[in-house]
Amino acid sequence: MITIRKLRDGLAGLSLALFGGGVMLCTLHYPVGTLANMGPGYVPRLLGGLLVLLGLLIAGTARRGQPVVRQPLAWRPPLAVLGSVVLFALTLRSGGLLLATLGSVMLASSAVRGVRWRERLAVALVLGALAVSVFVYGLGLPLPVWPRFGGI
Amino acid sequence: MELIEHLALGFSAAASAQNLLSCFIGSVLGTLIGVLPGIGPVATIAMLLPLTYGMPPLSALIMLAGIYYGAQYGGSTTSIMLNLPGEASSAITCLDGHPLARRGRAGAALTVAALGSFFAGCVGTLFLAAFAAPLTTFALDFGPAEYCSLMIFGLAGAIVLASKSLLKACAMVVLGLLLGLVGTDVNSGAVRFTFGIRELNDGIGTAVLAVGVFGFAEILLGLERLHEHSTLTARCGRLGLSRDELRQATPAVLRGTGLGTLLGLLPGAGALMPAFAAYALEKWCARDPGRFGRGAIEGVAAPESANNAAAQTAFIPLLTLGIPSNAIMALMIGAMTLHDIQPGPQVISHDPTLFWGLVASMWIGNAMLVLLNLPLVGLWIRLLTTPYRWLFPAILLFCCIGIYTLSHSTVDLLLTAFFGLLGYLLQKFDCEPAPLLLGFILGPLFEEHLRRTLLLSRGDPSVFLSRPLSLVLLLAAAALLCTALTPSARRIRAQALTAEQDDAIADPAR
Repeated sequence: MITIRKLRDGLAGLSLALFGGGVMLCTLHYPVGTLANMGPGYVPRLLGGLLVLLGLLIAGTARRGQPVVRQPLAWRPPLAVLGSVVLFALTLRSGGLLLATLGSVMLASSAVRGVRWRERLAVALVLGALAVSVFVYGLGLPLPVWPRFGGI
Repeated sequence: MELIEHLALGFSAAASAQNLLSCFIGSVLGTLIGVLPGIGPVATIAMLLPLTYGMPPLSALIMLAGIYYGAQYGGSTTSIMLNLPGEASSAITCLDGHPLARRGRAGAALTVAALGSFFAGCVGTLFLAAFAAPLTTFALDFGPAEYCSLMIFGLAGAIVLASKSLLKACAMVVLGLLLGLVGTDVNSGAVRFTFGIRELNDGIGTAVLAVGVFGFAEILLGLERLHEHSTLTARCGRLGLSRDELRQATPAVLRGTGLGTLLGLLPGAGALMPAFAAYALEKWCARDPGRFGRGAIEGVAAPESANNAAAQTAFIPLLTLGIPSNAIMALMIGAMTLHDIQPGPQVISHDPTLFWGLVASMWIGNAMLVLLNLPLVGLWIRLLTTPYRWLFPAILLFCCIGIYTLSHSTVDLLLTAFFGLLGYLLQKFDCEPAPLLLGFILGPLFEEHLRRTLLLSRGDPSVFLSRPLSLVLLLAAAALLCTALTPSARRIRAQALTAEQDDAIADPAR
């Protein structure tokens, strides 16, 4: 029987090893140099190799731990939270701080199930007003407040 | 009495209106984020870095330092009242603080935590003032080989003191070192690992990595334990201690302070490990260890003192050697470089006002924190009743605005989201992010010194062993790693691990 812990450590180790391998592949393009005169590729290749080794060790020594209660992997919070950061990044310049805040807060608050629309909108409006008054008018940060039409 | 002269200089600098204000803001913010679960000092400092740009360097450092030690005060309130660590370093405080609160002695626990922290903070700062200057003269003899060995020692410390698996901590350090190498290579000018993204030419921003891996990951974890946030189980009760409690708590505070002061010096210690070590020491010293876990006042006094003492002495490696000992100190390096201060042994001699002003501000800040935390504790508890579903979008938004204003770059924000995903995955894989951030900061420094050492020795690696200081440091690193593998150390680490797990699955309703 594969317990969650074993699966988790195995996956962690393999992904780390894979990442290290990727790093080593990338360093093929960089001159490595000698020990006395290291090129830009020397240390990364060394570290990449070390990461492959460590990753394989982690995967290899993954032991069966106490069985962990299996929880369904929640996709909703990471998608909503990280998605809202991306949305904020993409809308800030053209849409201005107010719109970007409204959009990203609405998206972020969808991470929690069962919160009413009206409540989410209220939080978004309060935070939008707060962000504009504190950061733009209070601290004087050079952020666009309103959407800009036809510009960049 | 040079020390007194220096401290006078420091106090005169720290007592200016602006510096007092920034000390106050730092303490309030620190308490605030300490009380609130789901946001820690790492993310807060990273997010506020850009806002300190317009401040004088001393005020900026005073404020950022205040956030760090302030969070140690605030974290205990949440641990005691909610059985939920407001701050990672206060996780141990839950074990006895919450049972005390259930017995109606929350007031005693809060008083001990605040006064113990204050005492420990003062002692830790005194230690910093007394030993930083002598250490600096020692550090001036360091060459590149010594710096390399020192960093290896520091990273070994981070690996040993990480509370989870040793192998994973090693891998996190290596991953961090690699992420630190992204960008232009100083020696050859070659651009590495940027995948054609121009914004990466200067490397990944410290704040970008820290907010992503710590801040966003903390929010996601906070959302997972959302159901635990709503239960405020205990009332505060009377503040102050009975005579018995005072008699039990005093030696515990002294022991915790001593242990925390020393452990804070170790690289990689952070504030969790000293707290845990102090708790273990109390349990070992106690005549009746069975009381622990059921509301022993020593179980609050010792770890809270230890984490605060450690929070002050953690500044010593940063201010004397320019080497950060934990994730927060790594961000302080970022703050210093933002103000064109080169962290290292020359700070004390070149800029004594900055150094002594910062030290003096720590006393002022600790005093402010006691006043903020004890009489006003009701206010902070009230704050805990704010639903997390309103709080987390605000935290998220402030993080986003902070990152964007750092360089007005959309790409930085997208990268932060990417590192948020990485941080979330690492949490799921049970890998600690703190060694990663430390490796990230040290990556470029380490490579530079390594290359310089080997260039000077014409490729002869034995230079690391032939220079006495370097040899001592390497031996110390090896000793650290070996002790971590001995059976008794393994058992202690295993205990730390289960303490944390117990805490994570503790039933909030009971």
